[in-house]
Amino acid sequence: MLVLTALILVLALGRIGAAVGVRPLVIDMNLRPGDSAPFSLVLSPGETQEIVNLTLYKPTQLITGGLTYEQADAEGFPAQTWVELESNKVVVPPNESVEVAGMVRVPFDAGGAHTVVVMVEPEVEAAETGISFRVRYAVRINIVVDRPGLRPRMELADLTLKPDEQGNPKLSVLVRNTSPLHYPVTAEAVIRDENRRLVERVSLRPQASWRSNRESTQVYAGAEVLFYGDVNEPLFPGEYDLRLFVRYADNQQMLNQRVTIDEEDFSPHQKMALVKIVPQNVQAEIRPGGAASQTIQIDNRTGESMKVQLGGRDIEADYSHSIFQNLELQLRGAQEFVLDPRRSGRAVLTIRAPRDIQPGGYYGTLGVGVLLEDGTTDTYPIDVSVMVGEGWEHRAIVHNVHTYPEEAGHLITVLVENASPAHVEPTGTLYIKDGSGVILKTLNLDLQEVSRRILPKRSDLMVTTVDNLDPGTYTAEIKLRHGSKEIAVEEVVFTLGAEEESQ
Amino acid sequence: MKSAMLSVVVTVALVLVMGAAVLAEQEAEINVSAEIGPYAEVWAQRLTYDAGEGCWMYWSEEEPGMNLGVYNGQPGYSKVADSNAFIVESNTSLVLEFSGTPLTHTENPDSTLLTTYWALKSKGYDEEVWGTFVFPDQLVPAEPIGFFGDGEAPPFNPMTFEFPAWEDSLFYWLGAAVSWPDTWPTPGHSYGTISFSEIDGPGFYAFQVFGFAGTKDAISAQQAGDYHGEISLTVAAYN
Repeated sequence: MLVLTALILVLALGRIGAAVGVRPLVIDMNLRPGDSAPFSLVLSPGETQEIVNLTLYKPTQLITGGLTYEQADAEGFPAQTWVELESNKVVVPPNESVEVAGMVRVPFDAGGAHTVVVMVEPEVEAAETGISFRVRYAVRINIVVDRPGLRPRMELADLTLKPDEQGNPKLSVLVRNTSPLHYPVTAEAVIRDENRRLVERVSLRPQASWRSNRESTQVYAGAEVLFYGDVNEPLFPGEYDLRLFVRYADNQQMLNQRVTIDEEDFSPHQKMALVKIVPQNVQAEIRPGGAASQTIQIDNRTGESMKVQLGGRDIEADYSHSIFQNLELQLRGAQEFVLDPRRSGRAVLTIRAPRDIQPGGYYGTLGVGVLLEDGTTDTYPIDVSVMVGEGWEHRAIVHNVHTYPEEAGHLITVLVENASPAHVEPTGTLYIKDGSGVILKTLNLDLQEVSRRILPKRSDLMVTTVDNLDPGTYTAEIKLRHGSKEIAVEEVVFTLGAEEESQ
Repeated sequence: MKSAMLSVVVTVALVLVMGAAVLAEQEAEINVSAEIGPYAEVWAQRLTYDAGEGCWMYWSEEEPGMNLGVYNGQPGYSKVADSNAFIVESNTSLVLEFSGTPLTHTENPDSTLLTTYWALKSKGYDEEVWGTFVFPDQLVPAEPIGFFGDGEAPPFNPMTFEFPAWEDSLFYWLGAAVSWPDTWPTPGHSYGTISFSEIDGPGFYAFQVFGFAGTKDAISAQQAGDYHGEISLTVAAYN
């Protein structure tokens, strides 16, 4: 008789490590060659004694923008030899913090930005069976070694407009940091049809930034990151101009490309407005301690019932003028409901301002999501802007001027930052002067289409074009206005040529 | 008399002026600045619903862990278990990276179970759970993050898969409701690591991790004995 012996696999309870906390998680150092600087990490205790290991790791930025960590030797990662820890293994008693000191010593031949990660790993009691849990903290030491001649540099490659998995158009570009410095990058593209009409303005970000709702991405020295964005407007067969603006550190690059769209390139565009929403944006003015209400009506334009969800989204993560972080919003009516065919639904949005809120503008987006048959959600945004109080001063800062040659003349872009506590709707005049101060050209400056305003603490490009101007060095006197009020006056020297940067 | 009165008036005036000056000095602004560095602390928590005396039921904490129980060696047999919650306290924006190794025989590293893990963000964090008649927020899955792990995912067979405990079933189906139709990893697929970067600022955040572990399709493919796997959570400030 054949006896089958049962195989018994036993998986016991796993063990969990770590109630230890760590601070800080980031240490920034600006040093010179030959400098030394101390630092310290504080390990906060848990309820039981923990043994904590500290190990140096090398961070590598992935094409998604995220970081991965690996142990490396000194040859592959010289920067880790600059970092010394007083101990690589520390005992953290219960209810008692422990400080671990360290020192960074920069060699005389060093330069640029270097990041070393101290991986703080509480030991997990070795379990023979089961699933154990390990928590570790990646503490980044960002060492910037100032050396003459170091400049941020960037290469752009592979600007493409291709279908995604659903056959919808997606713009992407590869950003290569070819310099020894880390810097933030912001990218957006403007798509125009063959008649120069604006089709859409597309924000491009790496995967890590889309997930965390951040407009700007830190790109590490030597890294290559893929920035992409979805094109939501239909692209009918024909020719289109893609104009990509990429801001990095204090600089900017522009890339122009013409593409031809054929009928089979993308899936038939099904996107049409399934709902009608009134109003399409909400604006209110209230005093501190006050409140305002707005009814939002959603009409189902289709012959099928649809499930509608209402939600909110910040302008970006950690935005200082977020309506959701600073004011109290309440939606009366269900946040999720079913709309019968050709029928309407309503929700009442009430906004309250605390008494101690700083006067200014506060912003966010309400999203009306329609659940489609394939399980995806079509979202229609409602911009919400609330002015609280009064008496603030509108002010803008001109950061730089760039020029780009075009078929006829030059495109001039001006980077403007809104330094006011509320949005500005800037218009401007740019006077081009020669070396003697004589005004050669007077040009109107405007935001690109689609934008009407710049929100507080955010920047945007104002543009104009100039023709019949010889290559050379000129002075741009820029005057910006919000309504009738002057909000900035700046003079910037710039050079007109092939690919130039402002001073 | 007049001079005396005048002296008094002058004296009072002087006192008032000096008092005002002192007040003004006391009211002068003193600028104080402090910089608070980014900080994080993570711990695991497991809650069970216990019966007290009479009909009294309450939530209590027990030793954290993921209990998959005993496998009898039957091929193609899978289980799903819940580890309950990881709690994250932070004063800054964070990136969390989930990674995991497959369940591996403790003496023969070539013998592994098909293993994949699943992370979801919970509704919130309730510090006081005792006496909560509904689920503490950290046990309610609210947003799927995704599957992860270096191992291959086990197959789904409704006839040969089970939950070790009723709580595992309950919280799994709550997770399935928010992540429908992605409720089981693709069999044979290895997911690697996943990141979550929607921790946007100070506060408490909770996450649940489920484990899917199953035997391969032949009895001889798994060696009898003890198996061990590991889930790692790497916490970093947003770069």
